[in-house]
Amino acid sequence: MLEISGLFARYGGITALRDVSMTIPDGAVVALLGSNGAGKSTLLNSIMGSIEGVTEGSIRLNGEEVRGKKPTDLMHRGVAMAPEGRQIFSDLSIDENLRMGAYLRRDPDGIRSDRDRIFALFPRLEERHNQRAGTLSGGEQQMLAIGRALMSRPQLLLLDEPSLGLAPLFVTQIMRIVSDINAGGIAVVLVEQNARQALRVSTEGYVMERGTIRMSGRACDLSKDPSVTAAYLGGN
Amino acid sequence: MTPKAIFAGLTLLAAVAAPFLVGPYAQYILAMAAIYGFVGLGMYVLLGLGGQISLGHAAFWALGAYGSAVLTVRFGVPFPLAVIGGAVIAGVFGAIAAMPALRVQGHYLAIATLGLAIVVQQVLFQWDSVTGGRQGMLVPRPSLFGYEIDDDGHYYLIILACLLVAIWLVRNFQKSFLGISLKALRSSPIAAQAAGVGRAYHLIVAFVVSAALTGVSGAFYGALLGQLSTDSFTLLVSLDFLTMAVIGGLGSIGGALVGGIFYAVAPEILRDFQQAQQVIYGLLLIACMRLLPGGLASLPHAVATLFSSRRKSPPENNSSVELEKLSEVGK
Amino acid sequence: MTISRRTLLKGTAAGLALSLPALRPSYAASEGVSDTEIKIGAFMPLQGGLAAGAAQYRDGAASYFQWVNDQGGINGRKVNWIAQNDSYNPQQAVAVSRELVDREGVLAVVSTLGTATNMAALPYLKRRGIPLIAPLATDPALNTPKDRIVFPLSPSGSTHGTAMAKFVAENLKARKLAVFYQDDQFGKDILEGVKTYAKQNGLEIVATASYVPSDIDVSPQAQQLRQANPDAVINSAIPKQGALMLIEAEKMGWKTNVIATQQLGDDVAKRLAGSAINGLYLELYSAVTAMKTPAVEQAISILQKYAPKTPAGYWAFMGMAGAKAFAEGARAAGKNLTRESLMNGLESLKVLKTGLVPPLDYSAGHHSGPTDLGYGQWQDGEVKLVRNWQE
Ligand SMILES: Nc1ncnc2c1ncn2[C@@H]1O[C@H](COP(=O)(O)OP(=O)(O)OP(=O)(O)O)[C@@H](O)[C@H]1O
Ligand SMILES: [Mg+2]
Repeated sequence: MLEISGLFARYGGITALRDVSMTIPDGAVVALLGSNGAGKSTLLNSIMGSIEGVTEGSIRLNGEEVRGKKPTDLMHRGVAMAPEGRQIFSDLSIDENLRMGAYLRRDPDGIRSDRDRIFALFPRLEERHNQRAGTLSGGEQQMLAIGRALMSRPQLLLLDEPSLGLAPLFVTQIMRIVSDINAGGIAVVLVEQNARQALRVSTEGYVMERGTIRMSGRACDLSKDPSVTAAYLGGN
Repeated sequence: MTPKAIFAGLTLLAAVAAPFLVGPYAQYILAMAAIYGFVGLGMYVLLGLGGQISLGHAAFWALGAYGSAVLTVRFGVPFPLAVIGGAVIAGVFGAIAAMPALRVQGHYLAIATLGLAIVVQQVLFQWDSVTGGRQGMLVPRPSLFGYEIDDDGHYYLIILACLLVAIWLVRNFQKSFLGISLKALRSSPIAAQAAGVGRAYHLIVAFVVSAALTGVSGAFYGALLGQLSTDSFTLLVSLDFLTMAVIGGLGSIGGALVGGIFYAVAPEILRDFQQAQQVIYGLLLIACMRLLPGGLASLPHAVATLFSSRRKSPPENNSSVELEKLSEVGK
Repeated sequence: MTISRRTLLKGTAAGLALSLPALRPSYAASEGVSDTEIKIGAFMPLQGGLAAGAAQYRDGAASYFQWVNDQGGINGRKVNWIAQNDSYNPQQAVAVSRELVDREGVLAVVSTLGTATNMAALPYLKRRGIPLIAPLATDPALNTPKDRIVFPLSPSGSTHGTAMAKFVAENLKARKLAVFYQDDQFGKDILEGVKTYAKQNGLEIVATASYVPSDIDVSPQAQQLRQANPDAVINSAIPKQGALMLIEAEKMGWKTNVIATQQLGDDVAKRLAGSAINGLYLELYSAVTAMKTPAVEQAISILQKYAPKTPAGYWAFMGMAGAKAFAEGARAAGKNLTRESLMNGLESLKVLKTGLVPPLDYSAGHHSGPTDLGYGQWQDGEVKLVRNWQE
């Protein structure tokens, strides 16, 4: 589905990505691990075209070169992102937030059925659909951010730390939802600090370090790799 | 009938009956309040919905005033068409003011509006063959279908009718997809753009709508006063408009209208303070930002919550965002 | 969307409640006259570049009204004259006029200052039928008005021109004239006046030169005028360029007769021109302290009593002249004072002599500012009277 090769990204003088290559097969869940500042968000933003710096190299989506295209172009081609830190529209109602997710779509019936689907996925949101999004709890806001991304009916969903700051119970729930989404045929790139949980729902994994890919492989292999275990899975 | 509907009816009745109960000067003030109401609506669209600060609305006001006056005086355009013409001219300049939005982010846009305002005022001043320059420009009384509207009370009713139409339009605008997108942009520019909302396009739309409303106000204003001079469209007026919007309340159309009424009536109440008036506005502005972030429009609600033990969520939900922005501009 | 409607309505209601106290109909129909009081008003640039002169102008009028009130008022009524600032902004002058008429309910607008501001307020005052008495301004619509409501105070531009040409022709035997004027309506009206007089009396205008108020060098104009070798120069400029012209002439060693408007008759002009001012003739349409007439002496003593800090001179005399004109008219109107009777009263005087400005022609159907002016000359740093106007 997505084929990244030799990707560089720079913010002014800082090189945030260095010769990154990555493959995301159709229908896969790819976990993207790495410590703070490793370049995970930068990579997602590069894919989405929402990066503030400059990029070099190649990003091919279903064979088409998309590096340097605008976020709307990517959305039109079936890519959606729930950015880091949720970024929901706190002044808008939940309904309006979801509507904004479907901004580029012009099929009212499809939009309505997708909205119902998302409410089925997140019953908590349905109960509060007229409520101002800013009044939701952190976990609910994260659900909304994911739901909003799904509203564009993507083929590839980029999730940047969806469990940030959530209680363990919520984290588990989010991971389950990632699986559910994936079960519907949507490929997911999942950036997570919570490596163990992430690898559990992923098919493959990449480990980043200071702008480069340190390691990659099948998720089940990575979770057994001693160095990954030592660095990201808290030992043993 | 719901209490709300009764209240709406009574308010409208009062607004319509008012000119018949008062003298000519108060009719003039009523007309001013309605005229400022348009500016309030314009500020609501730009600042309340779009979260954009303009330091140049006096320019749109001037363009509406001079534009419509020139159309009537020089080209013999009937008054109602001249008002629309004034709105169009102001709207076009609104688009020009927002053009930097294609390039710059954040408060640079506010600074750009300031620049435009200064240029517009200078051009109006220097272009004295058309605008009368320093001498100013005489504006004929408004007329409708050939009848001159000599009475300010009648004129007020006409402005009020137009204001009601404008309120209806702005209400629809804020409920529309365009309005929601604009609010989304204000709420989270990054996420909105990620969702495909074009920032520049929406800001330009907000500026055009806001400027056009302000232009209508200017057109009515010029005809009410009968005289225009560029000295009356300074930066201070732009700042007054901002103050008026904040004091009235940024969170709702009601706040916009209260702001307009406040701006028309306050000078009458504060008449004896003369030079201190600006200081009082400033203090009121600070007081509003600190104590009443929803503006005067939220006063009934604030009082109600004060007396009821039950805590409700405030109706003005998004004003604090703008207030933060406002205070940032000062830095 | 229920919230927004509710706040909308609440807002409107709150606003209306807020505005009610200000909306009482006050003087609307009363024409500003009660048993004990006559309410009148004025606008003038009490802030901005002209503020210093405007303040003296205001003090002149105000002290005269105070004096009248201390003498028992006009037909038993005290005068309440409300002078408001317009910052020389025509639009604000209209706004002030509205306030005075609709809010304060004044009988008349008296002793205003400023051409653009008076012109701006005129249509409104006309529409409301409010007499405009003694506007200090230069425009035919205010000096030789067509509107009955206007009672002028100062001469028209062409009168200035005629009066200056007449003086140099009759008293200095000049046949060849040069004119220095401002390149706008004000200056061109004066030039027209000079031309008219010259044509009627067989004089020749050998050179003209103009300036704009922002000019800081008038030496080319001075050269140009000198080359024509005129018998007299009519220097109709405002103080800055007028003084510059005098200085240039002195530098060139060009000795000729020069006459200027009274604008060059005060301390400001003296400071600007220095010693070059001596010998300069002036046309006078306002009293100068050198006129030892009873009217001028009385004006000086009134000023000393009620506004001791205000210098006796052009501005104070002009303000007082307007106040005096109003008082005379109101007195003539009798006990039943209305806008109509006030205008009748003023017109019944036909020629109104204040002693502070030349006689004003207020006869019905023909209002005009003064036509016969006085003349003075700067000698040893003081304005000496050459010939007073005909009373
Ligand atoms: N807009 C920007 N301007 C300049 N430098 C940036 C910008 N965004 C990121 N960086 C830098 O790029 C590097 C990678 O940042 P990035 O946000 O991609 O890390 P991350 O892996 O997502 O970290 P975290 O886990 O903390 O979110 C960091 O050194 C960061 O400081
Ligand atoms: Mg990150």
